[in-house]
Amino acid sequence: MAQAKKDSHYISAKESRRIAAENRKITRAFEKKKARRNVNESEYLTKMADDGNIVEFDNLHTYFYTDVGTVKAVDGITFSIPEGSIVGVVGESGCGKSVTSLSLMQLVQGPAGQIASGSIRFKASDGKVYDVAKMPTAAMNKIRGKEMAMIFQEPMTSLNPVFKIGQQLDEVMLLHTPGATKEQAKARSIEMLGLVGISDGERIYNQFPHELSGGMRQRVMIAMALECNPRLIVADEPTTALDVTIQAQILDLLRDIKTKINGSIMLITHDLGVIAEMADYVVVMYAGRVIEQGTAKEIFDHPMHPYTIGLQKSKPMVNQSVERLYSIPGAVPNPVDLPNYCYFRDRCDRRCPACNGDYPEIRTVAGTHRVACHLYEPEDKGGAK
Amino acid sequence: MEKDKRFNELPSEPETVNEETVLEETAEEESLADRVKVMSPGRLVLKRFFRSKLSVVGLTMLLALFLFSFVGPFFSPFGETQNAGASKWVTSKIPHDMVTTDKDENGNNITYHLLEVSDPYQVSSKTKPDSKNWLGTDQYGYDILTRLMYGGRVSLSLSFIVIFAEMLLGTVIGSISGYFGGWVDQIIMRIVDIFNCLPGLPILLLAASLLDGWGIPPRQKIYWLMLILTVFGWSGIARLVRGQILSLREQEYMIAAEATGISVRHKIFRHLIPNVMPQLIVQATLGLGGIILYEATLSYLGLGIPFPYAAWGTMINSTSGASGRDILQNYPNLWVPAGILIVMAVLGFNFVGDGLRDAFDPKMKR
Amino acid sequence: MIKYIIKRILLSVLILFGVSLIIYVLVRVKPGDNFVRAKYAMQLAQDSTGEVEASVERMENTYGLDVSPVRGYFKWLGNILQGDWGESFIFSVDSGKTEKFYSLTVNGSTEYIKYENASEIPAEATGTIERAVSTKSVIRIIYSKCGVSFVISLIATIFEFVIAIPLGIISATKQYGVLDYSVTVLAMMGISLPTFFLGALMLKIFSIDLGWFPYAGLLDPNSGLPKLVDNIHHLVLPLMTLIILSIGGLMRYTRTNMLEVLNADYIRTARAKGLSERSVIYKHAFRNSLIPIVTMLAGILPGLFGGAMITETVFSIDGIGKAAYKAVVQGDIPFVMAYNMFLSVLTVIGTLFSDLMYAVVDPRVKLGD
Repeated sequence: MAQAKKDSHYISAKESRRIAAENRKITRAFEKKKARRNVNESEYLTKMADDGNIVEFDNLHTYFYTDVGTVKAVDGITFSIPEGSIVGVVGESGCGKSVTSLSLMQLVQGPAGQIASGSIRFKASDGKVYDVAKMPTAAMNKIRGKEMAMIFQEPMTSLNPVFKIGQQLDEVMLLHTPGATKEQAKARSIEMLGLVGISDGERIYNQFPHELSGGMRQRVMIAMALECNPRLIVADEPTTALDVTIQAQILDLLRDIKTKINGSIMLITHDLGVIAEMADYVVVMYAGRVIEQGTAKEIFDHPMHPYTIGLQKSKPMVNQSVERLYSIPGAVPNPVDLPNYCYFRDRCDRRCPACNGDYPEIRTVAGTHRVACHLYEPEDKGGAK
Repeated sequence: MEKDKRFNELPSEPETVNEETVLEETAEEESLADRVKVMSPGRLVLKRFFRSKLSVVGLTMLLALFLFSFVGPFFSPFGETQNAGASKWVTSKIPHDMVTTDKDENGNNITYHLLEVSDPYQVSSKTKPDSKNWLGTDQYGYDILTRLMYGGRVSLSLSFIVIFAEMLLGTVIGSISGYFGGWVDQIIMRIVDIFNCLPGLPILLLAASLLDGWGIPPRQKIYWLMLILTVFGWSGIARLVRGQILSLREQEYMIAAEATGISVRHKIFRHLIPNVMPQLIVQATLGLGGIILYEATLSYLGLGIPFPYAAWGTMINSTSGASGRDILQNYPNLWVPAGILIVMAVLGFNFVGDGLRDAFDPKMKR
Repeated sequence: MIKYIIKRILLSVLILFGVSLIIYVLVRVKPGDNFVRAKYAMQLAQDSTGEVEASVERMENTYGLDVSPVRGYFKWLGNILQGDWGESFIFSVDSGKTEKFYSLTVNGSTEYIKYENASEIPAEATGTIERAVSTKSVIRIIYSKCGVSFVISLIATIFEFVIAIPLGIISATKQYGVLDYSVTVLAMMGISLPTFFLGALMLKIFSIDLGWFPYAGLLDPNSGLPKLVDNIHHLVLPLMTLIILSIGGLMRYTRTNMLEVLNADYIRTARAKGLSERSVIYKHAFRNSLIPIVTMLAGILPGLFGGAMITETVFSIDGIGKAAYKAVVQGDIPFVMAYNMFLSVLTVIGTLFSDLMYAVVDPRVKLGD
């Protein structure tokens, strides 16, 4: 019995193989679907729910089919990015914010990682609305880098070490602008380098990535993203790996760029300071779900979810002296096997009887402010006040 | 219960996200404690190892070989150098009948015929497989199946002893080099370079052929072979250990260890070596296959385990030389089984080594 | 750059010095015995010429056997540096030179005699003939046997790269697919097969049982085929053996590197640009996965010129590998020593070459650090 109990914690090799076989079936179907060629556009064209948005995530599920079970990295999130705004997505490590952004770019590492269901609607510059979740890779390649571009967390490793900066920049232009010549591409690249604050673009153009500093490389990454005037820039923790002083410069740059290209930015970070400084709208994620969203003002002035409140309390303030910074106890639950109650319950300092019930639905509390917590449920449903 | 099963398994996706989660989780406190199952690293490695089909296949092959070689001989009615054929002496009259006559004590005439009696093994040599000799007999009349078992004993034990010696030598020299650095490192690394530069098989052949020149008795030759294989095999491991130690030395935890003021020996053997172990184990497992190949090749070329002792390589050697073509053509039972066993052994070690590498590497997918 | 190369060359010389020391020690570690046997072999080989004493003396001189081991080593080293690598006991090749012999008829039978000085030539010499002079110099023997081995190895190496690298890449991009598994298993089997066993199997199946290819050698005068075609016909089995054996390692290596590269951040960047999977793999990933493969170049040089000992022996190809094997078995110490030194020199050059190549394929590597 004791042995049985001990073993029950682990999956047997047999079970793991069974899961692997099932996963292979599932992921192969997904991969096949993505690898199709000459797919009729109607299959992935759709309409925006609100025409003022550039991106709408609608009940998106992104799963990783691992040998130990399905990891629900993103588990039914819904939010949108209005045109011309900066939307900040914030959360702890492992809450699914990076996977959300990678889903939008269809860059989730396959074959294990797949968009299982839901849709991501993206409005391109020609007015067509694509459902990224349904697009085959070939079609996606036409808008990736052109309509939407991404800046990654690690500038040190995100540039190909064996190609010159110029080659890597030109590539984007040459790929997406039919008939562009090498000279045009070079001119464009140097112009973009200038735009991101690199004055001697001509020299940088001929250098290799390893000859540049981290900050410079991140500028190059941004220049690369700007190459085709994208409508949306996805910045996945663009400043995390940089020095504090460089961080501020890069953030300023991003804000500048946004106005210059008149696009939108989806900014992913775990740094509330960055969000406060940059974002118009804020989405707080926890364990693959959105737990609170609203304008930056709403979230910062009236945080409602205990987790958001905890996050804010754990952030150091300049002219406030506290004995000890607040830290939220515990950690994000394992995404392989999430409980059926509120994921935050076990770490929450404002637990109430209702918390033992189902996972709370997200509901609008005021204007654009939405929160998923039993505390803010109407009285009749047993919410505590 | 069903749910709890998978709880603590690492979702080892490339996503950094999940790994961090689990790391934190292992240090989890009460409220989630009932859901959190901590798995020791050793167990995790084992689990990952057994998840791969190839490593299980490899392990099975090796186990089968070990049983075959070390337990098998107890069930074989024949010995390593025991004539397996029916003990029928074939006699024949010499063409020009030599006859001597004599008288016995009673005065009767006795005629002695001089007969030629051939060696018994000549009679029962190269027989086809039958119910008595399952794989037939070889050109000396020995039972092939039994010879294969003894050959396996030699190959397997030789390779284990050699790899153990190589590891010992390589680890000691490599860690001294990596730990002390400076001129010690310089000198040792140049020596390693020299050994790396020596051509593998030719130098082994030269050394092995010199053994013949020295007149080493056949019984002792296996020990000398071990010595040779070790002497010309340790340098790769020394280089590996040294590289690992150099990079480990830069790690923060080593600086922390240094700050606690522990002794050099303690640092090397308690903090550095254990961290190199996974790679060493993988390297050793893969190396075992290589040594078996070397031993077999030396035996094949007639420079390894000498007759009458059995070795897999020697058995394939029968296909070369004057009678080679005949054996190649008509007696596959003489050499094919030995070849298959060599492949099984090497393949087994390679599969297991590969599986171990994947299991030890936390970055590996799946 | 130049400074770096000079430094590396000096280091290589040091390494070769060490290698030669080890080889010499191996041969002389138990003084006498080896060379006693060797001398015996030599006597056998040269009995007919009656030059035993002279050549034994010459050998003692070459290998410094007449002095203490330490002085002997330096004596031998000095000879090597001067190009005297010793004389083989068992091989001799055409030196390319000829000698003039004068025929004399003495008592009704013709004799051919060589004269050092023109003045010694007797008047009754009736005519002259020229004879090719054979040499036993190991250097010349190695040189003359290298060609065949080089051609075979070159073809095998080209096939190896052309087959293994693409297979490795495909295997990596389809990781854990059916193709990946089968290629992996086949590669492992290739790595695990002993050369002599595979060679024997090849001979048994394709030469003896099926009769498709000849059994041994490189040329069969009775085949009736043009020489080149006949050569190729003879080479199919040895080449197949070499290729099957070498593909596995390179393929696995390519696969591992490719997998590592495919997980790199810059590959994600390339995908984010909208590049097709093809360009991502064959432009961005491939260039990077080449970097570690450069290490393999170090082993190519000795592989190309050093011959394939076992394969050549199994298929009776008269290359340097077979010669080396014969030398080892028959105790031709001068040849074996020279062969080992030769391979070591090639290895050193190969390593130097691969280090220089790193700087070519990886812009991050700067020579001279």
